[in-house]
Amino acid sequence: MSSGFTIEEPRSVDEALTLLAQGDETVRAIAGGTGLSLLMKYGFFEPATLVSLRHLRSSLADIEVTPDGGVRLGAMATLRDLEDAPIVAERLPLLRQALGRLATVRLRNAAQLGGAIAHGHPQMDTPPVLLALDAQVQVASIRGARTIAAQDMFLGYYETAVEDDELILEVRIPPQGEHRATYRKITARAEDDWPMLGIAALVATDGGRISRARVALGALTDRPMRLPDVESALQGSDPGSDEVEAIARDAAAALDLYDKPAASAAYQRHIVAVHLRRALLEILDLGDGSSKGGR
Amino acid sequence: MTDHDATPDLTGPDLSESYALSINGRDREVADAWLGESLLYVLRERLGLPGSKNACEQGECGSCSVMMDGLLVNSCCVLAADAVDADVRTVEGLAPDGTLTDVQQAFLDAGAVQCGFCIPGLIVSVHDLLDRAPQPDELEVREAISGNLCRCTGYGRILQAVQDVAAARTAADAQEDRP
Repeated sequence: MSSGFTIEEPRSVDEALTLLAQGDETVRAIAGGTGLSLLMKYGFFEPATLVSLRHLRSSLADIEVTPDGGVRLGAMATLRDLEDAPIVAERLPLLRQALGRLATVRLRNAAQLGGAIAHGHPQMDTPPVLLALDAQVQVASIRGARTIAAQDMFLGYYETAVEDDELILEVRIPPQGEHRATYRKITARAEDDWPMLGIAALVATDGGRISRARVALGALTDRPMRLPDVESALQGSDPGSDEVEAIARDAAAALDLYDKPAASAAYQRHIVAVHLRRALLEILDLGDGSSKGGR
Repeated sequence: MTDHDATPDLTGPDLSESYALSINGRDREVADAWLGESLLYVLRERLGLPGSKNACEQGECGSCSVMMDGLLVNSCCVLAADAVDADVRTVEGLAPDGTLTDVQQAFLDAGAVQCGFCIPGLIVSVHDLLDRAPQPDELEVREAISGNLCRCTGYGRILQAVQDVAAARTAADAQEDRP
């Protein structure tokens, strides 16, 4: 049994930041609690103090369009809030699609965006999506505020770039323009399992040519990854299905993967080649590719 | 709240924390508790409410489903001490003692109950669904109960029971609307 600890319930962000600034990594913020409470249950994490953010929700859960046409997502918006928000449906369909298959509605009702970043588990669905959207995460501490690009956020198992004294306040998504995007979640065992692979792919087009491409993979290694070679192969081009197949095959072959209990490295590489091809065919409006190649 | 940079505590866990929860409309005191206990544990082991079931303990199976401030959650993944001020509704609070809700009765009538372990969680989930979507299509029903795992694989009759309740409620509403 874990030892006793205290729960503090700050009434303002400043008060929360002061509580987090004790130089003690076992002083942690808790919001939905769906991640942290399990780590405590398993004995992986024994807090000295939990800083409950429950009184801060009213000021940190807004979802709104920013003056530049981007979207600002409050860190304490629940995943269900985001899934149900018209702004997300309209401007960030990729995020909405990914949330629809994230765990179950019971989890999405409790889990919040900030926690879905700070938890830092490599098999989450949100990280590759945030990478593909060029998300910028705003954090604050008593030392000041800073912005961490989603791409620099995830550092390994339960490890993120958020320092012990920092709190995630919001996520900013820059304007995406006219684009097509998809999230493919591949599970190794049951349909509602954690992903063994998550693919977030997005292309913005300008006059028939691809002006911007983003492709990010989650759940393969200890952190999500962008695929810059795939992105540059797509950018400025107008590929057909044969080229897409080659791009996906080359990308899969270049990945540095390792064997895992549910999937060998070779199997993971095969799955990436198949599903990356299908994801790209889908967003390039070349069919979904499911008639070709193995399921 | 205590100061934790004092001398090391060699007497074991500090179990002296007390707080109050609102369960099914009643204030309930939780005394001498470890603050890391889940809402599920407190409901079952401290407050005498064993209707919410404990199976996976990690948010996968839905057996512990409860309503918290009007939202369906897994009570195994919520810290009880962080649910202070929340309006918690459990399966025990759905109908007065000795009576059944229409959803519970429909489950019985449809033969949807096999071993029964998953049923309280399913009942709470189905009430939540029908409150939000009185006439759900099959996909909505499946989405709502995904995350309520039945290992007797009795989903067919469960789906039937949900449609039966939705139809009965719609018929009752139509009756009421008649001049």
